[in-house]
Order: sequence, then structure tokens, then C-alpha cells
Amino acid sequence: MRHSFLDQYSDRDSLIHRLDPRTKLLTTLLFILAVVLTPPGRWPVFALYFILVAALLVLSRVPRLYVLKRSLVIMPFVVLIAVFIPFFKEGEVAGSYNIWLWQLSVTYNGLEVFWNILAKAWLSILSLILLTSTTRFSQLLKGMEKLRLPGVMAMILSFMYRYIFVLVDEVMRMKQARDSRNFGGRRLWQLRTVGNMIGTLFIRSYERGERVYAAMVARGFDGQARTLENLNFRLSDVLFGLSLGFIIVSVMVLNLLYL
Amino acid sequence: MEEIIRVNNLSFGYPDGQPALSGVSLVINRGETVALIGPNGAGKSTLLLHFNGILHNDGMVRVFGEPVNDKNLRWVRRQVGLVFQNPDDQLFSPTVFEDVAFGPINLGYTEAEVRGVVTNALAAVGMSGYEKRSPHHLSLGEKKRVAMATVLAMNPQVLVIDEPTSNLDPAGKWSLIELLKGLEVTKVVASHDLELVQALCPRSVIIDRGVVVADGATSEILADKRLLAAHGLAQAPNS
Repeated sequence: MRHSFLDQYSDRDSLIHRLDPRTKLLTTLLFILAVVLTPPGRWPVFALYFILVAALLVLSRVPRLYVLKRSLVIMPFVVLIAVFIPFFKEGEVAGSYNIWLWQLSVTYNGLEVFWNILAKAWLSILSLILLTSTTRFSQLLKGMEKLRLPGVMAMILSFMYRYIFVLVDEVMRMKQARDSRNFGGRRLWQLRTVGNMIGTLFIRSYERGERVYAAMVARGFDGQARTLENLNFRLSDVLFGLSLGFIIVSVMVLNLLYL
Repeated sequence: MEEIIRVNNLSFGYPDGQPALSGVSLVINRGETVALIGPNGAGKSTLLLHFNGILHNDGMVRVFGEPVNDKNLRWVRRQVGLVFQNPDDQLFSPTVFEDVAFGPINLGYTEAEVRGVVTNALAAVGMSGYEKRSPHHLSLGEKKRVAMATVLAMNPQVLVIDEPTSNLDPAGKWSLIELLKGLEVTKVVASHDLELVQALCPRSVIIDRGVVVADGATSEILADKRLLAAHGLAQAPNS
């Protein structure tokens, strides 16, 4: 079966694509840190951050609609987590509702925090989309390894990237086999079938793991992950890293003065 | 003829108690292309895993006269390249290049050498230009070719292949057979695809229930319909 790439558009070419993955990883982290540390209600600051990430997205020539769609996919999860905050934050009451025995009240304070979380999450997600759609996954892994991510973690991520859709295919085939035999009936029976499927998937994955390991051992693997070293910082990395770092830090300072 | 692999009275049972091989003896000489044929569950794959020491039983398998043991596994695996049946098990890296480079890097080649052997291995299987692709997005035929390249890149003395044509469509299968014919290296091919065996291998060995039941010229073995039927390789005569 055909699946979309986890790192779609990362094989294109642009100023951003050509940067060293380490530069992109570090600036992305700095950006997210700056966004998260912004106090609530600083809308001009958020606007500046948005302009920054939007400018980089335009530079990267990743289709805008794709970025928008992809960022909206993740938002419901954020909303789900943040939606209760307006009800629990103390402060001036904006509205109150009676639902059966409970009295629920929404505070202005809580609403502000809620909007803040949404804005911060969206900005962070945009920067991560920028990172993943301009960097090949293998390059990203190499960058992480160079930044001292333990080799085992890098290997786990690399296997995840390789096998996630193999597993999705496996689940899809199991579902088709189940449905073609008229899956239905009582709730309990359904649950049991699903439980069996999960168990089967686990065993199959475990056995696949053993076969993959045998294939690695057959090619001389001895527990030590080795890769070719082919990452190079270039002048453009230094310029990009410094200028972006400068912008982010100055926005943070501006933020303090504004306070 | 120079002897590459000698298997001497090899028996093996899996931990669940099922015997997989009982007293197999076999010699593979340099330059040969040998088919290992047999029905499902005959022990073919288990035997292949012994050829480069993934499974090993001290002294029962010799490579260039050296008994395979814990100490010489690295050397043995350099001599005997094993291509697994399912390319999704064999190809585990994010890109084709990294996968083909995996073996040579483990062998301690320099970067320039690694790049050289990867380019050559991919060219040998007709997959040049696929270096940056993700193995997941290749067709099965392409995956099988890349899987072959991952082993060829280590420049083994003998290429051991498990079911190279399984699940391929006829066109893919025949182009793979042509590819294998063109590779000038000693080959051991486990399969129950008799068309493949006939087209590729002058010598055949039949294995059934963990025992070698026939070893000889492919033309004679494939002509013996009774023998084939008795070991699940042809339709039973009275059905």
C-alpha cells in the first residue's frame, strides 16, 4: 500500500533545505523555547514570532496549504487538553452556566490562558513542520546523533521511520481479513477479537524484530551503530543560525522591556 | 575444485523441540550455482542460517575448511553473504544508500571505499540512482534487488539467497533470474520455484524433513517426476 511520506517535501531544494540539520534542530528548539517562555497576553510578540516562522516557510517553498492542513491536524489534541483551563482558572467571571447540578463558570483569565496555549502550540507546530518538511528524516537522525543523542535512541527512531508503515499495512491486512469474515456481533466479542489482533500484531512484530536482527548480524553488526560522517557546517549555516538566534533573542529582550 | 562450504552431518532442533535438520551433509564448490529445493518447512531456511553462522553448531559447518565457531563469525560472514527472503526484514535503514553501506561500514571500510562499493553493488543489480530513496517506497522487485545489493557490497565469496522469486510477478521473476545469471559469484539458491531452478542452477539438492534426499544434476532431478511428487515438488500422481 502507498503511504504518504513522514517527511514529505524534504527532498526539494531551497535555502532552508540546504542548511545543516543541526542548525535547523537547534534554531527550532530555540524558537520553541522562546515561544513557550513568552508570558500570556503578549500578542504583538506572538505576531512577531508568527511573521518569523511564516517568512521561513515562504523561503522553504513548501506549499502553504499543506503546512496549514498539517498544522490543523494536530490542533484538536491541543484543544482537548486546553479546553478545561477556562473553567478552572480563578478570576473575573465571563459567563456561567448551570448544567444539571453543577455550576460552571468561565473566567476571562482562564480564557486568556486558553488562547495563549493555542497560539503557542500552533507556532511550535509550524516550526516543527518547517523542520520536518525541509530535512530528510535520515539527515535529521544524523543531526541528532551529532548533537549527542544516544545511538540507541537514534536507532529506535530510525527503525520507527522504516517500519511504521509496514506495521500499518499489517494492521490493514488483518482488518480486511477480519471484516471479510463478517465481523460483528456483540460488543464483548468484538473487544475480544480486537484484543487478539493486538496480541497477534505484537507477536508478529517481535518475530520480525528477530529476523531483522538476524539480517543485521549477517552483515557484520556487532551492537555498534556506525554511520558515515558527512555533515558539514557551511558559511550559510553560521549566517542563518546567528541571524535567527539574534532575531529570537532580540524579540525576547523586547518582550522584557515591554514588561 | 575449491571447496567453499562443507556441511558435515548437521542436525538442528528449534527450542520448541521440533527437529529441523537431521544429519545433513553437503559440499558447495567454487563457481557452482546450487539449488536447494524442498517443500515448505523442509528445513531449507534453517540450513541457510547455518551457512554464515547465524545459527551454529560447532564444527558441523566448515567454510574454506575452517570450522564455524564463535571466534571466526566476522570472517565467516564476510565470506558467505546471506540474502533473506523478505526484503522488509533485510532492508532496515531509512535510505537505500545507508542500507547498502551498512555491511561495508561494519567491515571497517573507509568512506571512499564505502561509496565505491555501494555504487558498484547498486549498478550490479540495476538500481543505480536509487541511493536516496526510502526502502518503504520501492516495489517488491526493487526491494529484492536492493536486498541483493546490500550483500554484494560486502563482496562475499558465495551468495546464499532464500527464495529470490517469491511473490514476484512473472516479468519481475524473469528479470531477476537474468540478473542472477549475470552475477559471477558462487551461488546457493533456496527455492521451490522449479522454473527458477531449471533456468539458473546446474546442480540441485532436494531437502525434505531435514534430510538430503537427492543431490545431482538439475536436468536429471527435475526429470524424475516420481521423486519430485514424493517430496511435495510436483502434483501427486494419483490425485
